[in-house]
Amino acid sequence: MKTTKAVLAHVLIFMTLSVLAGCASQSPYLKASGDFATAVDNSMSTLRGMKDLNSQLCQQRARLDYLFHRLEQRKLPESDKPVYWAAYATKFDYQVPQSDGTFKNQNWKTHCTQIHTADAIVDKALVGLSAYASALKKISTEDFSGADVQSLANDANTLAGEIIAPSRATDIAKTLPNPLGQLAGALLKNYAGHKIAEVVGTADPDVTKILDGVGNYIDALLSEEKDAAGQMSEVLNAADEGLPRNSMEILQFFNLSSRWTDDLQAKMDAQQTLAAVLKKLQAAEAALATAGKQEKPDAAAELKTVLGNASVVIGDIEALNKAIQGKGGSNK
Amino acid sequence: MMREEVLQNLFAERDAISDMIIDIEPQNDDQRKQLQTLMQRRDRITGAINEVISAAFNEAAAGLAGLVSDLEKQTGALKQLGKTIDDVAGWIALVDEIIKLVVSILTLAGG
Repeated sequence: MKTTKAVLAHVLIFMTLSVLAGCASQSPYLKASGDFATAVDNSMSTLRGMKDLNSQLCQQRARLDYLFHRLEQRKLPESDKPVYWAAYATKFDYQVPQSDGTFKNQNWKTHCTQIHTADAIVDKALVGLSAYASALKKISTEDFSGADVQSLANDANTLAGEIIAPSRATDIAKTLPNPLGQLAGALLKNYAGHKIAEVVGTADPDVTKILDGVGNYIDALLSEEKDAAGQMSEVLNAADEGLPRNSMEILQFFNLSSRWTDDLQAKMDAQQTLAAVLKKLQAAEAALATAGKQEKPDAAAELKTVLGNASVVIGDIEALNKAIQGKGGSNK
Repeated sequence: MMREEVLQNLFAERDAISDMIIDIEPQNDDQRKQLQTLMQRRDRITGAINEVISAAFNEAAAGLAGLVSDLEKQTGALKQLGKTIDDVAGWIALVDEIIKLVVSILTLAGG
């Protein structure tokens, strides 16, 4: 009898714990945090898959600049020697107007090298946000040391010291190491408590700064892509003008120009999606932090915003990843 | 967004200069040298574009809207210029004015 009572008691305890665990997993705030974390994690992975975006774009613009000059070289005096492909990045200077009316020479290699460092810093910030998202997911089950985020912050600070040339993208990148370090501190301090609302609340100012920085970085990239699109159009017009009346060469030109234009358009579409995704994540982060400060976070109206935005972001990122995979499908 | 408007104008100006370079066929060395100068002006517009993309930009700077409106008018004027080899000098002079205006915009918005 005693044994039966003990078994019943165990069953009751087990059932109670199961119900409590069920309730915990059903907690609206916890669900919203988990969905938000998934949305952040997926977005950062996709963004990281496109790392070196800015420096690749810089090189693409330099090559298009080379091509336009090369195609039009035939119209210039014979004494004007072309700058050939191998030397173009280091020997060709484009002129930057100065406030005193003079022009400063800048070569593409210097410009693109600086931008490459900025890409590396932004990549650290993306890893930092992923770590934050993983931490939110893990919070109810295991401890998180935060050490990885701290080390990322240190790396990013070192990289920031290497940036010399001023540019919007590099300036944005330089603002990221500080919030990264603070985010690491916030995670370390609050994880022991396992209170997700406290972690979100403490991390919120720094996560917001990092999301803003990454969003601005994507906006700056879009401006550069529009410039690349203009350059490409000029190059194709210049090539078209010199095209012979041979059908096969015209078809080859058509094939190449269609591919180039479509590839650039696909990149611009992807970045516009990412820019929109970041805005939704910013809104979701703000709503989650506001809800967490309320007396009953589980009843906060803001959770609808979090869940709605997280759901849209997860869908958009999934569609974007499929589009990217579809584009590169032939390489598989 | 003022920065976007400035960039749209600069893109349109460089397109117009490039079309001019593509369309004209110089017949002698003097004309080739003139075309060479126009290509250099095109490079300056590229430099200005890079600068506008990179610079800190105060969208709310006083007087900025007026300068951007002037830039838009100059883009329109550039598109109205003649498109023969005899018109190249006029293009070079107007591009120089445009560059001065962009420097003023950058000084105002960046200051």
